[in-house]
Amino acid sequence: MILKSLPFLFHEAWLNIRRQALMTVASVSTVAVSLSILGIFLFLAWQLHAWTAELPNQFEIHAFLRMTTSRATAASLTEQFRQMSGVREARLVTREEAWDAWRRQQQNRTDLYGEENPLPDKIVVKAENGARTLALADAIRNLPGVERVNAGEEVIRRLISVASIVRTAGLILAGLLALGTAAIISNAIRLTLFARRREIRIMQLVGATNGFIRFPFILEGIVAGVLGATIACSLLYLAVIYLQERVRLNLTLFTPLHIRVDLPLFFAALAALGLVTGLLGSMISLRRFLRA
Amino acid sequence: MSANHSAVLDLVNVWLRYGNGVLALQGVDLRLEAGEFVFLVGQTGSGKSSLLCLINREVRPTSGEVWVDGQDVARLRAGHVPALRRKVGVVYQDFRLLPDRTIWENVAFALRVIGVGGRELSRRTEMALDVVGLADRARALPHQLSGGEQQRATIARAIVNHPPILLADEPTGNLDPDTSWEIIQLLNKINILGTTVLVASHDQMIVDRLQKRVVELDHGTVVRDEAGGRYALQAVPTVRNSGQGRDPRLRVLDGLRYDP
Repeated sequence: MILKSLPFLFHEAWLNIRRQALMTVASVSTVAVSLSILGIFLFLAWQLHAWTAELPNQFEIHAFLRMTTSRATAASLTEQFRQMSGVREARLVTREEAWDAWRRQQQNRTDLYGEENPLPDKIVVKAENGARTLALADAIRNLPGVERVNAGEEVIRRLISVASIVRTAGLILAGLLALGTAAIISNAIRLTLFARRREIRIMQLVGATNGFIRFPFILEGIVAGVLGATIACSLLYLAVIYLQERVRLNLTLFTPLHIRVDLPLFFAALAALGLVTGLLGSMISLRRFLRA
Repeated sequence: MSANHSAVLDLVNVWLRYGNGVLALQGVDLRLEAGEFVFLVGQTGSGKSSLLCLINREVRPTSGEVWVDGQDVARLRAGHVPALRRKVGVVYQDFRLLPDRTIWENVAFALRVIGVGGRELSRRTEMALDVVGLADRARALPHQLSGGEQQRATIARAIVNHPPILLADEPTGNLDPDTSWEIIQLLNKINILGTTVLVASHDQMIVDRLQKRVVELDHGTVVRDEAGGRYALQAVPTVRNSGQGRDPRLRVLDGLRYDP
């Protein structure tokens, strides 16, 4: 029966949208604003998460060799490190190179350090990903010939815990914001329902099924959700383009501002969120409305 | 289905207490055979509207049975309520027309929501408008019509899908006496065409003039049920008319006699 009435139902939904143009504008802009806020937040959380997840990658493991280690052994150790799983790069820095670098850095203030080179050879190792740095450092620590390993463990550990806090808090806050958005949409749709309670009442009295009564309103909810999401996506996209432009011009090297968010996925998620909240919002209000 | 409830409408020991504690109906028994025209009379608050609400399942009785067309609607599942409502046409004092749709659309609305479309829709809508005498006003909006015409439109909407039962709750409550009489004549015509009609009214003039079966409710119980009855047993002035005398407009109707 619903199928046979589809033209009428679509027509009703269209009539509702047109007749209550102001109401439609209200619910669409409500959705747009809520989703924009949610979008900005999600964007920032995503960005922050990606950034904190990436940071440990920039950490290196410095494995200082015993002073007694010969250069040949050092070279073979370097090769051995290179073969270890999870290693992206291993490079031998001889004590002479290190000393030169140090002195360059200190502008040859030999008065402070003397002429004797106190530095050992060291091997600099980079892990394939930040999370593996700690495990790798432990493995290297136990190898013969290695005197001491410095991997910035404390910093990495903190970063990883910060990243996980950001992730958890982000998820919780995003969930709360999404709930709030659904509630706002459901409220906006409740207003349109209330404005049309007379129609609904009459529909019930002449024997329309609840499914039949619901259909145009659900359609409206979906339209409001998708339209609102489209507006929100457009606004955010413009903001992102602007931001990218500014970053390229002024802050090329400031890595936290490089956009790490997968934009197509992000906008698809936002649109889906608009659709789902519109659908849920209208269904929740209808449920409460039709029960009365 | 039950052989005992073959009447088009059969209320058996119906009690209704609302959530706020008000006892609206107390052990009401009422049976209407197909084709009857019955007036339900009584003071405001005597339970007339509550009784009508039971029939199209706007409320459930606290106890008792409400048989409509062989079905106990007191025990009807929510999903089957729309099907029941298609068998029970309703007319209200305040018309309840959709203000932004034409009379034609208002009447057709009742068919559209039950899935009727196309030529069938036009045919039945026009027929219903014809029965109530509004064929030439079909394109008007409700506010462009008089009260009587609006009530005719409501009646057209109520009968457009040929329900076996028509309920009218104070259908003349907002109308002047002449128009009230026209509306009652229209309901009578629909009754003659085969629909069982139950009218709740405290319009004494109309009840007395039509001389149909009268069921009187008082504080939720049936206190009188007589064929060819009058509004009240004696000409006791009702609260509505007390102190004001008889509406002079009623005299216009003195010469009129309803003649089926």
